[in-house]
Amino acid sequence: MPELTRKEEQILLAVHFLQNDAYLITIRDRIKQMTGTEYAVGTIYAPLNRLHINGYLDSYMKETKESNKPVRYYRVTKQGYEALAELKKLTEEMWEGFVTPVFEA
Amino acid sequence: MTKNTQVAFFMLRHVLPRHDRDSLYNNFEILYENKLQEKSRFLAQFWLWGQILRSLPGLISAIIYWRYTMFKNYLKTTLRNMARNKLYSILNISGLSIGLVCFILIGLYIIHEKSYDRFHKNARNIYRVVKKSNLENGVVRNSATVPSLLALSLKMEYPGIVNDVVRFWHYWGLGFNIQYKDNIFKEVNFAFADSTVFNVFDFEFLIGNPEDALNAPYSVVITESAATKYFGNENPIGKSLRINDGYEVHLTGVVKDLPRRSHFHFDFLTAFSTLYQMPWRGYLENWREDFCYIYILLNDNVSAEMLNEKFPTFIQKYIPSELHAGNSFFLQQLVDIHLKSNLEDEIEIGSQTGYVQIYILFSIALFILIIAIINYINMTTAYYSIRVKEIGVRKVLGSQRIQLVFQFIGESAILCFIALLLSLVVVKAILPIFNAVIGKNLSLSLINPVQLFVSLLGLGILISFISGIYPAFYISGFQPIEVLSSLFKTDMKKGLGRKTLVVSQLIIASLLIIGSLMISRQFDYIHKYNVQFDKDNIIILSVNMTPIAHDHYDAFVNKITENPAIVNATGMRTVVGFEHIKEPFSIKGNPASQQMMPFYLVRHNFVGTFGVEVLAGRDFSRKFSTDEIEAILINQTMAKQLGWSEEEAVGKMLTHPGWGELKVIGVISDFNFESLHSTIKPLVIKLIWPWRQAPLTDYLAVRMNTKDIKNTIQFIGNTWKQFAPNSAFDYYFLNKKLDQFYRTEATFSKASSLFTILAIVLACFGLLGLISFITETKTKEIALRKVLGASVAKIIGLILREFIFLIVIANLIAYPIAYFAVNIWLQNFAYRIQVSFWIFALATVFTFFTSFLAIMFHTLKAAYTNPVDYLRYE
Repeated sequence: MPELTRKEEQILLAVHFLQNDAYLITIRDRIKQMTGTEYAVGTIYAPLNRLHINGYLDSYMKETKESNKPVRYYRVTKQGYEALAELKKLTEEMWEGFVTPVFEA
Repeated sequence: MTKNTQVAFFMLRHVLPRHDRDSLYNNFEILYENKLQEKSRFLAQFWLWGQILRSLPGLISAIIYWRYTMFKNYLKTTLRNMARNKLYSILNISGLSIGLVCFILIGLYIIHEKSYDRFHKNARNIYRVVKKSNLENGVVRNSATVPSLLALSLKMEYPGIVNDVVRFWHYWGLGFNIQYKDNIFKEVNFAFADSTVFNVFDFEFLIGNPEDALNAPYSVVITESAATKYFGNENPIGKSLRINDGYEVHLTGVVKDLPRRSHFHFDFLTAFSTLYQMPWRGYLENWREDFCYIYILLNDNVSAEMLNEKFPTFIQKYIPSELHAGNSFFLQQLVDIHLKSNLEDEIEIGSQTGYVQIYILFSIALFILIIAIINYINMTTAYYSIRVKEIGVRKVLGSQRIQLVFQFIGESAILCFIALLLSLVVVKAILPIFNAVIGKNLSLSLINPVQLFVSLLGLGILISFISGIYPAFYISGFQPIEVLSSLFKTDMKKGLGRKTLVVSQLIIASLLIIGSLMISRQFDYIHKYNVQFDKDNIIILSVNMTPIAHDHYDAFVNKITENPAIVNATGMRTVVGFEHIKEPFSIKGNPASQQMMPFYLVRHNFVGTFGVEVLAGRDFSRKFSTDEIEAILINQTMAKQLGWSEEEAVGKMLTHPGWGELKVIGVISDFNFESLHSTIKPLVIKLIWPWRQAPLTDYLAVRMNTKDIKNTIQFIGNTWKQFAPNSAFDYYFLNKKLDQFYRTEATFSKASSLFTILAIVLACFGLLGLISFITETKTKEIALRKVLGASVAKIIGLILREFIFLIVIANLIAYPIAYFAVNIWLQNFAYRIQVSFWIFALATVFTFFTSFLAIMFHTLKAAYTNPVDYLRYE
C-alpha cells in the first residue's frame, strides 16, 4: 500500500491516540469524535483489516475492561509510524504557505 | 436474549470473516449490550439490525481482501517453490501439457468426426431408408439404395409420421459428361433429386428460389464452385448444360457449396422428374431395383422406431409377394451415416470403421491423460516430502488440515492451468501440421467459444482435483512435531512408499513401450501385406457411356499400347481394390455348395495390367473364342476353399444359376482386394460377354512404364479425343485413389503411433522426475559416504544396485500383463505379427537407461559437490 486512504489515515491515528485501548468499538468512537460521522462497524472493519494484513498494525487478543469478552486489540507498528510520518511530512509540504484567500462581500 | 436478537447474532456469526470471527462477534455483542443500557429493547434491536445491514458491504470487502491476500501468499509460495525446483516444474508442466495436447487434439478429431451433417437444421429428424436383404446361405446384404417407389408410398401411407421425402439418384457414381460451349468435364457429383430436397436439407440459395427450383423436368441447381467452373464470370441464370451429348438441362438456381462435413457433396442437382422421360423410367416403377437413396424428414414429435415398426405391414401391403422373402427396411439417422454406416452402394466412402477407431482414439487420449496425471501424482508426492518443513510451520501457525489440502490442490491448479494454457498454445501451433498429416480440417473453432471455455475450465479444475487430492491429503497428514524435529524421516526415506512409487512408474513405462512398439509394428505389417498387386503406375479412365467402352475399345487399346511407355490396358466393370460385386457359384453337380463369391468382370489383359501371377493353367486369351463366354480365373484362396490344389483346379467346372457352366482355366496369385483388416477372400474373374461389353465396361485401367508420365497421359488424352471427341477425358491414379480410400486407416495408424510415442515420452518423463527426486534425497548420504572416504564410482554403484533391483521387479510384473494385453489386441487382425521377445528386452533396456541417466546425473552432481554444502546444517 504505497499511499494511505483517508479512512486508513484516520484509523491509524485513532489507534495511535487510543494507546493501549484500541479495538474496533473504541476506534469507531474515536473516529466519530474526530470527524463527527458514525460509521457502521463493518465499514470501519474493512480498512482496519487491510491495514492489519499489510503490516501497518499488529494485534493481540485481550478481554476488554468493561466486559470479560476477548476482542482484537490493535497497535501501530514501526511500518505504520513510518507511513504516518511520511504522510504528515507530505501533507505539511503540500499545505505550506497556504492562506485562505479573503473574499470581499 | 430474545428470539429476535438470537436470530440476528446467528446470522452475524455466519457473515463475519472467518479469520477474525470471534473478535468481531464480541465487539458486536459489547456494542449491543451498551445500547441496551441506553435505549429500550425494541430500539436496541432495531439498531442491531441496522448495524448489521450497514456493515455488510464492509464485511464482504474484508472477506474478499482476506481471500485475495491468502491467494497471493499461496501463489507466491507456489511460484517460489516452482522456481526453486526447476526440474520438477518443467517435467510436471511439460508432462501435463503433452497429455493435454494429445487429449485436446484427439478430442477435436472426435468432435470433427461426429459433427458430420449436423449443419442441416432438421438434422435430428432426417433419416435414410436402407434395405436389408437375407440372401441364400445366410449372406446378408445391407444396401444404402432402395426401390424408388418406396418414397411416395411412405409419404402417402404415414402422413402423421413422415413430413417429407426426397430421392437421390447419382448413376452409381459413374459420372456424367457435362458440356457448356467448348468445355466438357466429367462430373461424378451429379445427382437427380426430388424438388423436396430443399425442404429436407438446408441448401443456401445464392440465386433462385428453393420453392420451385426443381419443379420442372430438365431444371438443374448447381453449386457456386460448379458455376464458376463452367460459366466463369458470366451470369449463370438461364444457361443450359448439355448432358452426355444427349439432352440439355436448364439452370434454375445456384447454391453455396456444401460444407466438407457432409456425407454427400453433390455439385449438380437435377430435377428427379427428368428421369421419367429417359430410359431409366422402368427402374423407377418397380420394387425390384434398389435404385435410389431415400431420405425422409420425420415430424417433430415422432421417433424412428414408430416407422421401423410399421415396415413389415407396409411391405405386406405394397410390395409384390415374390419380393417379400428376406427383405426388410430400416431407418438410419442422418448424423450417424458418416461414422457408423458401411453399407453397399454408399454415396461417398465414409470413415467405415470410424466408430471403433474413435473409441480406440478416445481411450488412447484418456490413457495419455491418465499417465500424465499419475506422473504428476508420483512426482508431487515425492516432491512434497522435501517440503515437509513448510507444512510443519504452517500447521504450527494455525493452519488446519483442510486449509492445507486446499493450498496443495490450489498449487496443483496453478500448475494445471499453466499447463493448460501452454497446451492451447501448442495445439494452436501444431494444428496445421496435424491437419496435414491426418488430412482433415480440424480447428478450435469447431466448438463454440463459450463451450470451449467452459469445457477447458472444467477439464482444468477436474485435473487439478484428481492430481492434487492425493498428495494433498498425504502430506497434510504429517504431525508438525515429527516434521519439525530433525529426526524426521519421510516415507520416501523409509522405503516402502518410495519403492511402490518407483515400481509402479517403471511398470507403466515398460507396458507403454512394449504396447506401442507392438502396435506400430502391427500396422506396418498390414500395410505391407495389403499390397499384393502392383498398383503403382496404373491410371484408371472412366469410359462408361463413351464409344471407347464398345465400338472403339479394341482400336483404342491397340493404339495406346503401341506406345512403348504403355505396358497394358484392360477394361473392367469395377475398379480393383475399391469394390466388387458378389455372385453365387457352386461346384458343378453339387448345388449345395453354392456360395456368394466376390466377382470381377474384366476384358482381356487383366492379368498383365495388374501384374498378378498365373500360378497354374493360363490367362484369358483371344485365341480361344469360348473364353469370353465360359472361362473363369479363380484365386488361390478360392481353390483352397473348394479343396483343390492349384493344378487340380484347372479344368474344373463351376455353375452359376444364371449363366450355366463355367470352366476354370487358371489360378492366379492372391491379392487383397478389400480392407486391411480382412483376410483375402475367394475371387472369381470372368471376361465380359461380347454382347454386354457396352453397358458393362465402365473403367479402363492402363499400366504405364515410364518416367515421363505427363506426356504419356497427354498422349492417352489425345488418342481419347480422336475416338471420343464428345466425352471428357477423366482419369486418376489408382495408387493415389487407393491411398485416399484407405486414408482413414492410414490416418488412424499414423495418429495412434504418434500418440503412443508421446505416451512413452511421458512415461519416461515421470520416471526421470521420480528418480531424480529420490536421488536428491540421498545427497546427504552421498556426502557423508564421501567424507568417510568412499570413491565416486563406489557411491554410484551402491545407489544403482538398489534401483536395478526395482527395475527387474517392475519388468517382471509388466511382462505378463503386456503379453496378454497385446495378444488380445492382436486377435482383431486377420494378419498379425508374432509377439517377439526382443521388444520386451528393449523395454527393459529403455527403462533401465532412463533410470540410469537420472541416477547418474544426480549422483554425480552430489558426488562432485563439496560435502560441506550438504552437511552444513547437521
